[in-house]
Amino acid sequence: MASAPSEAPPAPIEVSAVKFVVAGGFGVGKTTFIGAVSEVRPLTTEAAMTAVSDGVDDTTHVSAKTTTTVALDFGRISIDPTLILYLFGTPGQERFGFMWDDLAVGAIGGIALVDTRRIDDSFVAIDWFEARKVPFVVGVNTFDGAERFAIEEIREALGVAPEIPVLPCDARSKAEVKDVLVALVGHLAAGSGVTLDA
Amino acid sequence: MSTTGPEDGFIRPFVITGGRTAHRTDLQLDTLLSAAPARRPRQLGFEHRAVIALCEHPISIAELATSLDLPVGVITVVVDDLLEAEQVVVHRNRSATVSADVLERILNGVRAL
Repeated sequence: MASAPSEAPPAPIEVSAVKFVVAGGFGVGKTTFIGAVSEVRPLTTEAAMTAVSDGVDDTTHVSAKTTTTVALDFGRISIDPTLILYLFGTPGQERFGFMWDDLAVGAIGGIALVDTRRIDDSFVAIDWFEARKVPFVVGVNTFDGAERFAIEEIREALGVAPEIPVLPCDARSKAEVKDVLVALVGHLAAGSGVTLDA
Repeated sequence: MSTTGPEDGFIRPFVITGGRTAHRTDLQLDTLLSAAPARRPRQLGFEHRAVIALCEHPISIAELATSLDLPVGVITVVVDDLLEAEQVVVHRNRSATVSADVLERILNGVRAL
């Protein structure tokens, strides 16, 4: 019995969100990277992230998981009226690395940002993407004064698989950040056996 | 004799949520919400009305938290109330699976930036 009032409310348009995660060591330029392409300036939110539950007895009344609040940055790109791309930066502090798992939920791709002056910091991000099976590309942040290494040298130092794109990226440059995102989309397409036009 | 009073202007999060912390686990940072098209008028608190107002356009949990300067944990409780009251709706079709269509649109969208 559709007793619609004079003006039936339109159903809300179904909108989808996709999520990319930007990971890397502290100060590698995650916020700058997000800000280069986000339509809003990078926003910071305080989110409760699930923390370790090892050794905690599970009971019926108390969740074994505990949470800790961390600050994380994110940006938004409205792709079209029904698709929104969110870029979430991992909490930069090393001690929160183990809490990134919540961010991986629903993430379709990732960007590991690498600072060639502190390449060891990059392994946490790369290992994390690999362990969660989140396809990723590597952006090598070219800081002023940082020694310019050949991309192949960096690839070797990082030990990433040959099919994973590694490309230079000045996080302040919108064009270069776009290149990294385009490379990621291409990598996602290749990984899922999809051929993209253009 | 209280040492702190209302004059400090700080409202603790548990006041807004009525002391509740439990929330649906399916509300993620990037979960999108819209205001329900047909809403019955309800007596709602300030935060609840503020969330509905922001939901006029699709918006994520993370953006709601930032816009209202409230912790994500508070936003999820408020949103849970609003879902219960049928004041907002969740966009269910999260593109967790990568389709050629979605990738193509992202590619075009990024190139157009």
